[in-house]
Amino acid sequence: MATVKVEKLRKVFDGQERQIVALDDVSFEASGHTFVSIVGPSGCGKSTLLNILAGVETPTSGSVDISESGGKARVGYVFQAPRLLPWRSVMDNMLFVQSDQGPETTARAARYLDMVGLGDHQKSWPSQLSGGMQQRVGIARAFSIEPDVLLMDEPFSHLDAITARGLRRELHGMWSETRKTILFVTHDVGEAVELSDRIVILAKGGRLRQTVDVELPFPRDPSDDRVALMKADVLRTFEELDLIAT
Amino acid sequence: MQATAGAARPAGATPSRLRRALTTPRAARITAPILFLLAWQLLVPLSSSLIIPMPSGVVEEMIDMVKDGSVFGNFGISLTRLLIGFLLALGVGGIVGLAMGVSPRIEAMLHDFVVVGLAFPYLIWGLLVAMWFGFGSQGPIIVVFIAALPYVILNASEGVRDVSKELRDMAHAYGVPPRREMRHLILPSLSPFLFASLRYGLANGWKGLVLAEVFAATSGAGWAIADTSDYGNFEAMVGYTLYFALFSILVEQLVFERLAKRVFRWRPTEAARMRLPEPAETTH
Repeated sequence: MATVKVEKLRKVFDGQERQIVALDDVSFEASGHTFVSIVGPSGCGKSTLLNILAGVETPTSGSVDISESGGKARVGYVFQAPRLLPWRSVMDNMLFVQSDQGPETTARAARYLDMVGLGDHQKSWPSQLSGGMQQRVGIARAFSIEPDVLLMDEPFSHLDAITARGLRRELHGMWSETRKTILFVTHDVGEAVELSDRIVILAKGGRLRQTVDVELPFPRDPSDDRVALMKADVLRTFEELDLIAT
Repeated sequence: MQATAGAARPAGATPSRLRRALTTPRAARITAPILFLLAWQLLVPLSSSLIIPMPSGVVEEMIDMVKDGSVFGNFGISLTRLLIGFLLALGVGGIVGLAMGVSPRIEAMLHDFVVVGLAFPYLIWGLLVAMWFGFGSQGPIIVVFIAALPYVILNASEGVRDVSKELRDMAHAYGVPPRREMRHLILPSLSPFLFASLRYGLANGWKGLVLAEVFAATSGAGWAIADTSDYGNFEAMVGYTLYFALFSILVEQLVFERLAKRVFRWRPTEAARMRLPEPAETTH
């Protein structure tokens, strides 16, 4: 079982005139088959949090720990943009991130491409695919390393509403099937309510303001009354926390 | 030439198709030089000057040069010098350029030298190497090196800065080993810049070479041009110049265009071309 532990995390960037506090005293924990959404206005340090968890950035103070039954956990990352190597085929993009290389790896990568409906596009160049298809490759890539923990940074925010809705449904299916721990950054409260067990609310200045547990049965239809009510609840929390700019 | 001109007349069964074939960009690359030669042949007799040779005379000289083998000898020597000088520039310029791309301090130190290098006339280098090294291969090779170097440096340093931070972060997040990152991420993103260095570096190396051979050599294509001009053999001189032109067109079409098509086949336009049937071939 994978465990993500974030403790008193603080990250300060040196801006041109003054220091910018991206994260301030953030602590939380998630483990096992959990879907945690991190929600907040732009500039509240959501992406920075994921980058620190992925090891791309280092914290100013505090610590993060991602472990799998005591050992080191494998981490997959889906970015806001697909971030594919434009000069490599879809399959080669999948293989680029694998720790092992061999026929089984290729078969596994192909299986995940099938899962996102791109089995026929192994040899395509990324530029031959639509934005939604490229993002699907990014998702398949993250799942194909069979990570213990999956980080997702607003993966659907650049897509049209219909494509995003389809991909959300796919993501939920893959999460139920693979039973990963997923940390999902979004600024879309509806999306967070639809997908997660728990919502972590970050405020500007990178402070963790509140966590909300979402106890509704899956699959959640966004037009379902209970989902809509929950969304309204979370938005009200935003108002109460005075997070909405006026 | 005459055959083309005759066929161009709308005597055939499908004149419109022929006209279309002759006006495609590909055909224009052939028709343009033919028109140029025609105009040259027709306009020269109108001038009273005797030092502009007729294309027919030039072609005769060009054939003679092939027959006695002098064109191969001279171009062979020049090409060897070009290659040695250019490979040196590629090695040194690549390293210096990478260093400039990575370190702002080295960039600040060398930036002005590169800018001056780009603008510095080859004539001065040609004269200098003639003074320093006399006649031989050393001078021309050094001028090729100096002429190509700033282009290689500039492109290498810009290439390094152009490597996407987002893609590198992606590779780091997934723990991709450095060698694989170098091979599949860094080198491919440098390739447009490597290409530009090849193209401009080689072209400028050529220009520098010819000049250096005029002053500082007793062999090679540049020397042959100077030599024929000294003897007043203008047909041979223009013949050599035309061989130069032919050579650069051949290198461009046979080497660079094919290489570019292969290396950049992932680019949106190239990819679209592979996905869609080529319009010129499929129009009824």
